[in-house]
Amino acid sequence: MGSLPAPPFGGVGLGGGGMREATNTPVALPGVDTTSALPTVRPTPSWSKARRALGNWLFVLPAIALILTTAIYPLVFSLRLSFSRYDLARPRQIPVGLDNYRAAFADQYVHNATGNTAVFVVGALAAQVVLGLALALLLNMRLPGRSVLRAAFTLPMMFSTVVAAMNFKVLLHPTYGLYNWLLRFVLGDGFVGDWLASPRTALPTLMVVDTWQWTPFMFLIFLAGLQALPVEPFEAAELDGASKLQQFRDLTLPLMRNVIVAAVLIRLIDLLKIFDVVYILTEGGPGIGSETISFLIYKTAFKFRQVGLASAYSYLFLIVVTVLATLAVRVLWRKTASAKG
Amino acid sequence: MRVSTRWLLHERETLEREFREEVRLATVLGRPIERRRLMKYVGYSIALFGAAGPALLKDSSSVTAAPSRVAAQDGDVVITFANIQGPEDAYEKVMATDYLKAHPEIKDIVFDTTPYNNGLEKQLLELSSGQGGYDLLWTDEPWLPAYADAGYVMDLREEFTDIADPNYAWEDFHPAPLAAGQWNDTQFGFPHQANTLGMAYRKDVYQELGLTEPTVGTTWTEFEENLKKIHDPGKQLYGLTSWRQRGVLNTTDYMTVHHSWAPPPDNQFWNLETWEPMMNGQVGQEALAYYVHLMDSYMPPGATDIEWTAMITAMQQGQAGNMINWTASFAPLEDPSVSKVVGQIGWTTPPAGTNGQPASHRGVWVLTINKASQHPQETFKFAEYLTDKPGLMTYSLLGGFGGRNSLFDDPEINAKYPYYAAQLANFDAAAKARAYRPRLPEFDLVIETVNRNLSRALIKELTPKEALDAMAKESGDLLKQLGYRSG
Repeated sequence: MGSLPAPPFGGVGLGGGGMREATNTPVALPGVDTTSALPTVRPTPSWSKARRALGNWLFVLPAIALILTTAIYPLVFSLRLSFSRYDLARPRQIPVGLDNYRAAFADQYVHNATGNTAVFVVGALAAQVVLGLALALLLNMRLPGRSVLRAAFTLPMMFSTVVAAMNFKVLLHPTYGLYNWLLRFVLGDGFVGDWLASPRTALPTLMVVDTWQWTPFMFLIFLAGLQALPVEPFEAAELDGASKLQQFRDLTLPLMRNVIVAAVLIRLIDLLKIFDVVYILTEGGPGIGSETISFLIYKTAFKFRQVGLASAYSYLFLIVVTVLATLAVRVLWRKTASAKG
Repeated sequence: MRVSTRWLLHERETLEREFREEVRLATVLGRPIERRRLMKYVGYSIALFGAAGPALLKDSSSVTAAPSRVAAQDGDVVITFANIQGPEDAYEKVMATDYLKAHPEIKDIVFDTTPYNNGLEKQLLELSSGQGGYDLLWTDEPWLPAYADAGYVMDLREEFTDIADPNYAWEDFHPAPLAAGQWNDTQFGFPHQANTLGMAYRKDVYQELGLTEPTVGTTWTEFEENLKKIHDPGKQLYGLTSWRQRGVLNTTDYMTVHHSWAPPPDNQFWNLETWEPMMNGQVGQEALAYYVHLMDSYMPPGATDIEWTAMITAMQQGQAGNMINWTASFAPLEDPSVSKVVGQIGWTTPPAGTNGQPASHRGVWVLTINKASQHPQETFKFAEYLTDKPGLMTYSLLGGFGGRNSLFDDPEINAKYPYYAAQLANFDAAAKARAYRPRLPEFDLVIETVNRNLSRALIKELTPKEALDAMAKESGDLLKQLGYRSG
């Protein structure tokens, strides 16, 4: 058998800084006397290293170019826009310093949208955590038809949000909608409502729609977490006479903490950015009753063409989302660290 | 959604030709037509008509579309038409199909049809890119100043003098739609769909209840007396349906009350010379309080969410006694395939204030040509074809509203569409009440200050006075910031 083919780029792989250098040690192959067959590899000369580095850069260059053009450049451009007045109908950037940021802090409609977003996030997130956990606990038990039920409960998540929202628009129609018909049939006229058109019910209705669609996501993550829990602590607690509630409070919840916080974090970021359901079902109305931050940014940029102002809103919003996400991660890290002792 | 007119035409013609050849061959060979094969083609025809038929039939009100299948080569002339959803889209597709038949040098006319709410943003984004993605744009008249001011659209009277049809007859247009296509005394738009805000009412209901049918000059008080008798939710018959979903079309509906409440200049929203807000005076307070009362008392359930489709459906299903809406909605009420009230509708202006002067509103759609278009001349000729005398006659017979004087005088049009007379009365009412939306390049920003506060008044978040004060403050600040208003 002849000598082994030389690896590309001077005998090393294509990885980054963690690559192993080639050595003179022959590779031991079963049944092959490699000691006499392999030539001695000398230390790599510097020109070869440079060639290797160039090769590496050539491989990562397309990715860098893609990130620069599709992520970094728009970010920098929109940052610049946030300090300018820029109207789509008069595309000239007029520098205005911090005016857009001052306007954002002073604008009552930003305050309103912030309040609506906060209410929406807290309400929908709480409902999704509670319902998702309850469903996961239920379907983690030995029930007849459990597999079918698990599949059925994940269905809403498979819908496009647009399709789901359009369905709800029809179902919630005050005159022709199924829900009002059912309510009228079961409970009488007093329980029929303009769910999307009343200032009292529009935002809660959006929460219900979002909860219907995204509770399955929580359910799936929690179910996976429950199935990964060790059995021994629960058997020991059972022997010690702990009730199911005590087991849930003192074992399930602490052991599931990481899973719960990760799921909450993902949904928190998603909910803060809520747009599609609002756009389709209420367009921020009635009045400004369901206008969220993302919807306000969209309207400011594309309906009212104030792209500079919308960019300032976006950067402020980005800061808020980043701070909240970082805080959540820190809380998770601290609690996990303290739990480990 | 993008639809290739050439593809629709090609598919229809191919199918018809193959079907004819099949029948001819079968006859020549002296054998009976194979039934299975015949049925197959019948099946194809039904499927194709299901998909493409509405675009090709003159009475269609919507189009089921497929993406363009005609690949354009370099040098091919493909006109891209930015259109807005509505019954007019189908009429325009019928006419575009005929135009392609007569103009083989045009490879295709591609329709990119968008819902009204997204029309302005989509058109403006495309125009501001300077890429010429759209050649022809169906433009709502309040959008025109922004396009013209930014230099995005072409001057139709100066830039096409060498190819313009000498018999086009600009002078035949009614002054109102003609003015809708102008900005700073320059004609940027061909008047196309000449809408006004009008009122449709159920003649049979009025007659059954022994009520006097409304006419030009019927006051709001007299109208409400009728509403009290008509409105019967137990029988699923509501007095009135009108646009109430938040937005500019809710605002224009309210403006018909506001503008009718007093003669100009007291009925104005802004002083058009100084741009000082005027909407929160005594006239505004009375008008808005009355409008809120009207909306609360005589509208169907879900009123705060009612928009175009809901309004028309309520009338078509016989659930509303009166409708105040744009005249583009009138033709679908007389379409027997979707309406239960064909032949039972009367038409007039919206009711009048105590002085007997009604107000309406002008809402004309014009055709504009993108300055970055790759085929401006071909686009110009196509737009001329859509809006010249025969073009607007065809369009109007299909169900549209052409704004030419010759149409208002035409016996065939008036016989087929009795609401043309009301249309003229609406134009007259709008002019007398000086009822126009603010004609500024920043129209959408300014009108939003009214939209959102009007909506807040309708849901009782603000009292009428608070809502009007908020409109005055917000619009005043904005107009000052934009440099229109001093002080």
